[in-house]
Amino acid sequence: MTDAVIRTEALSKRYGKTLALSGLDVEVQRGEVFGFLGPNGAGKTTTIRLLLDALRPTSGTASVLGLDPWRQRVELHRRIGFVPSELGAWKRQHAGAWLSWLASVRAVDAGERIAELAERFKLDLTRTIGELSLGNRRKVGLVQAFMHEPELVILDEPTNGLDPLMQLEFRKLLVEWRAAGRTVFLSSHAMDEVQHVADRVAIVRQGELAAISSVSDLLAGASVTYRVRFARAPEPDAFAGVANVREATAERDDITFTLEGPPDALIKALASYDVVSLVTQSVDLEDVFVRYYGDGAGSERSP
Amino acid sequence: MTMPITRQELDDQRRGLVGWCIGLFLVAMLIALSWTAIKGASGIDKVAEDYPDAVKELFGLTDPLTSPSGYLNSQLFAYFLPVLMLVFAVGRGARLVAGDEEDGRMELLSSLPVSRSRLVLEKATTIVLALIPLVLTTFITLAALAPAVGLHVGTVGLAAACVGAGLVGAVGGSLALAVGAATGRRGIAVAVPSAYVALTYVLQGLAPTVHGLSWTKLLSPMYWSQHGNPVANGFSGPAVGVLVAAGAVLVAGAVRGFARRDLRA
Repeated sequence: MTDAVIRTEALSKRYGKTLALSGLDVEVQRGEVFGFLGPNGAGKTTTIRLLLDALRPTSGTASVLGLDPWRQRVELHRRIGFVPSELGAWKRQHAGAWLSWLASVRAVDAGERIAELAERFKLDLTRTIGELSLGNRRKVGLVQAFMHEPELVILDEPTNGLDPLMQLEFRKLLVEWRAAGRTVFLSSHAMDEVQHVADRVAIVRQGELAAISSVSDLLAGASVTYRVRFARAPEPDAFAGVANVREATAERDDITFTLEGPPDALIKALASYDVVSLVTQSVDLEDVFVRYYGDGAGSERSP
Repeated sequence: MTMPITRQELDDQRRGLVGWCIGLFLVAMLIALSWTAIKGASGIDKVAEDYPDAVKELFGLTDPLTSPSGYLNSQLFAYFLPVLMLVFAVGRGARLVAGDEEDGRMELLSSLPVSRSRLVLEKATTIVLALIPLVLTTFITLAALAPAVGLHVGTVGLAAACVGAGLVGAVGGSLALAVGAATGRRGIAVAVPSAYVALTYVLQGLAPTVHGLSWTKLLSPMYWSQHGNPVANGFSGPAVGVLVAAGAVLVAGAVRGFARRDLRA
């Protein structure tokens, strides 16, 4: 791959005896939204801090936008935006003045962009940051990361505390960003924050890459649940031999089927019964996620 | 060159700075006005006469207490004013990098297109810039009141002594910055300069009496701020040189200490 925006090779970070990140190999392509998933403490923030030169790797290398995070730090930071998981204690600064200040540090004229983004996210720029709610501080964090229109935005748990409407707006922003050929690195512990916008996801746990895959592939591998209501329910055993049905549990007139793979055989089997309703439970990356974390057996890696 | 980080830092400190200036104005005024009570009371000098030289030097009593320079040195310049400057500058210096890390501001700051050395240098500049109004307030207050209360000292002498105290503050603040930049811990960044100044101040007192230790007084910033009796004699080139050089070395150390370190989460 030639157009990797982020590339890590065997990237590792050790704190004393703790291996916070172990041999991470990841490539993020230009123009994609890349989800970086894992529970707290899995190494997500450590990875981001390595990419941003807040930490120095114990071993391995990272390059971002083709640059060395340490040697070409200033040029690199000019071209990226970053949303930290916490904004930090900037209490007395007014949100607007603080954003203008950041723009002046970046030596960009971002006044219009700041106003535009603030309006879009309904952020009151006249308040001091100390007065803002958690959700509004998030918005300040988002505005400062996007105001200079960087090629790459790195976000660490960006929607914690954002209300659902704003989360939607945030997703729209990411989609626009991708449409403009820019890249997003979105770290999160929450599936639903990522699954609707990400093209690919990497799942990390205990400092190691557990899986990396396109979202559609992950979803294809996920089990799907169908809840069928019958006029008069048959015994669930009647479906025992149907292809792809992993589980069938009865509850009064309903049977819930858990399928892995296409539902074709099940639907043909259902055709001989009097079906009142059929509900598909929306497929959730959460299921995939639980599979990777639930039993400790999810160490399979895709190439 | 614009220095946005320096500007923001000073902006942030403005309120505290005004408070400190008011405080120093009151201290300087009080000390100037008290002169009227001291100047005629020659009996006081007898009290100090029998003190050992070491004690005299520590408390700025090398000149008689009833002389203008002796009075100002003992009451203000030998330790009170430098200590005030130190308290101010050490607190600021420790806050500059270590405080940013402990309060979570560094995460974002370090994502800006600013090299680590420039970040430290811009922050270091604020120590000096913030000390200027403090030094000026003290100097102007004393210089304005001295003739009115019959405190006959030269303006240059007052300026030299005030600048000396400010330089002690700058050295302490730079040490706090350096320790904070190397460790990211504000507590240590306050403790190290405080301990250093206290220890070397004691050594400065002991130095003349303990054989073979006399050189240790050279380690004390307070010794240099009083070197050559600036109130009486004006600026001392070596003293200013030593304090400025010490500050510069410490700032260079801060840059170095911050350059390659893992920042704290």
